[in-house]
Amino acid sequence: MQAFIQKYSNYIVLALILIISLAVYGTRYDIPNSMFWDENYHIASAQKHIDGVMYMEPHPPLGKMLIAMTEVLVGVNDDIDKQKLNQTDYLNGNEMPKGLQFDGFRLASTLLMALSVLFFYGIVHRITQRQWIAAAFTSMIIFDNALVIHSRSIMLEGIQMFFILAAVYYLVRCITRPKAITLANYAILGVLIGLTISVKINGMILLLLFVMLFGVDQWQHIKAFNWLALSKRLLITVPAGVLPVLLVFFSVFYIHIGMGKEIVNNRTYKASPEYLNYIRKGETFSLAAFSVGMKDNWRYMSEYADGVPRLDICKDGENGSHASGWPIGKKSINYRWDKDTIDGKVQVRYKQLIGNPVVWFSVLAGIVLSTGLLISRFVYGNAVKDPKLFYWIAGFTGLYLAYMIAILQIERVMYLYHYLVPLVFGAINLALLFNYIFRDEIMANSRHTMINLGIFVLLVIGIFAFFSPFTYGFQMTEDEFALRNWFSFWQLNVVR
Amino acid sequence: MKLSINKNIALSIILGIFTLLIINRITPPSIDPVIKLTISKNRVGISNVHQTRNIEFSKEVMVDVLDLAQKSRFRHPKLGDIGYVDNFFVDINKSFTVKTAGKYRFNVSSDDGFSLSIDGKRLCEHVGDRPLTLQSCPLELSKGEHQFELIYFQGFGNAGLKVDYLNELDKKVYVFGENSKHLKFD
Repeated sequence: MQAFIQKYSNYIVLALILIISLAVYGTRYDIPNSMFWDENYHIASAQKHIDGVMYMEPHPPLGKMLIAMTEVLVGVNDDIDKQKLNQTDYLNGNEMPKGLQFDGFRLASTLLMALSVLFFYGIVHRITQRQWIAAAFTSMIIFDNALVIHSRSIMLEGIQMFFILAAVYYLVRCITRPKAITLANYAILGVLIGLTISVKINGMILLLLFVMLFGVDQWQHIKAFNWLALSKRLLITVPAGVLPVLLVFFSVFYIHIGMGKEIVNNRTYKASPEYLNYIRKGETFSLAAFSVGMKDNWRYMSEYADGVPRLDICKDGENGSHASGWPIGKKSINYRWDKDTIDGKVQVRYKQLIGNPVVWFSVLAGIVLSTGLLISRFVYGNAVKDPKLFYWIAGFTGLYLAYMIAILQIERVMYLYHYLVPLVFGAINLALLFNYIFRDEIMANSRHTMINLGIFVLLVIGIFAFFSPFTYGFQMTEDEFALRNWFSFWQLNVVR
Repeated sequence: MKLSINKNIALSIILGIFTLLIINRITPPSIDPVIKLTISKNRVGISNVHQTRNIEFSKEVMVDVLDLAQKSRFRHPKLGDIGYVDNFFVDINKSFTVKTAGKYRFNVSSDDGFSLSIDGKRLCEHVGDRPLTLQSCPLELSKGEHQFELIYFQGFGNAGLKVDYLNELDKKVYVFGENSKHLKFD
């Protein structure tokens, strides 16, 4: 038995992680049986894919396509007339078709996020070569309240996270295996990045993965300042990587434009007469239709982005927040609440975007520490005890900081869930930093280190459970709410 | 001398400190449930303690003492905010036992108004709104059980309620709800 466990330990750990992840993300993901936050938009867009209705949207269409796909596969709403979803871009709750269920629409994000946890495990495992380290830090992704609530929905972030972690895993795999990096590696990485960007444009941060891959690929030439060799390699690796990105991105749009064969309620999204003409003729899959349709979609996305208001913290009920406050969870968003009075006591079900404070503050502490480590090396010239691990830490700290710096340049209002991407980078960074700090103890399989990490995992799980009423919408009294209102900067508002 | 820190011990200490902080934060505050407050949110503004009520909803909160004027709000030192933001009534009906007969004072500090009755007789009141102000209400109490009835209201803005008592002989001030050699509450 022991030999069997040892032989298949990696698969057993993976299976356990998957089971836990599916249980945490998937349990009753169909409730509430009503929409919250951006679900009202995405459900309408996804249905248009199912019915072949033309539409334009501020985000690229891959996420909505996958939402539509799971809705068709699950088929729980097959007997329901969903025409109302095609007649609007924002489905009001009172217009929701009677009997509509959310199992299919929410499955894409829920399932892909639950699966992406495996990529996280794989990333940390490949770099640290320790199962218990990888498994312990994977708990940060399974048991983060913000990731869980936001992914169990008809939204795009859970879907995008799957492609993000897949791309990062592939990069790590290319670098850690004992084989030379080939152009095919750049191309496959390009495909994964292209899929990420095809869900949401902020996935462009992953273009930095090419820089990391190239850095490892050409490390000897970089150290020797061999500009000629570097230039030659750049001339072939840039097209090898970027062309697949573009190919995937435009292919997704090609399918999207091709599928839009019908205009409902004269909703044309300011499409050009040429594009509308192709739709009327039923030639949406032609290259000519793609050409004008792509331009129109791009213009629509651009105009929409220009029209999004700026953050106004003085506005009553402003849900947006400044990126500088995200690492500490500022500010939480109340997606939905339902009030009930039971035995004379007011009980409220909240669907509240709130992070697991153990996870979020640990990630922040990790970033502070790793930034200090980088400064100690590059400013003070201190020695590095594990160069490979050091550069991995530099890479993930760089990804975190680059994302945050890029976000800080954006003027439109942004929300706390835009922090989920750097949060995951930060969680990987924390795992690697732990490995760096406790390198000798880990190599010696120190029991004390394992116990410490075990306590950390218990804290992560315990605090996730404590805040889970916000995540799963369990009923809470005002007193129970107050017990969870830890920091004023979260800006939680009790419902009375 | 080389300063050496065992990293595992350091991490254990950090984890221990955070665990204790978390346990302290998630443990509900415990107080002796001595006095029952019935707090009722009014639908319309309140400017007089005796005005006709139009109650939207009510809740009951048990406190140990009537020390509910913290940070310019209707707030208990341990339980935190226990009232509503504005426009609410608080009704308190509490029996207490006088161990030493004699002259007493009930010092009522309120923001906004209140009305205090002992054994069904109105002792003192301030019917309108005001900033936190102390009002001293003297009376003679016989030995045995008595009934304390207080109505308080908060209109808008700052809030708070505190009730102390003292026996005129020794002048030592106690918060209402706190047992002493003169009065007993449980």
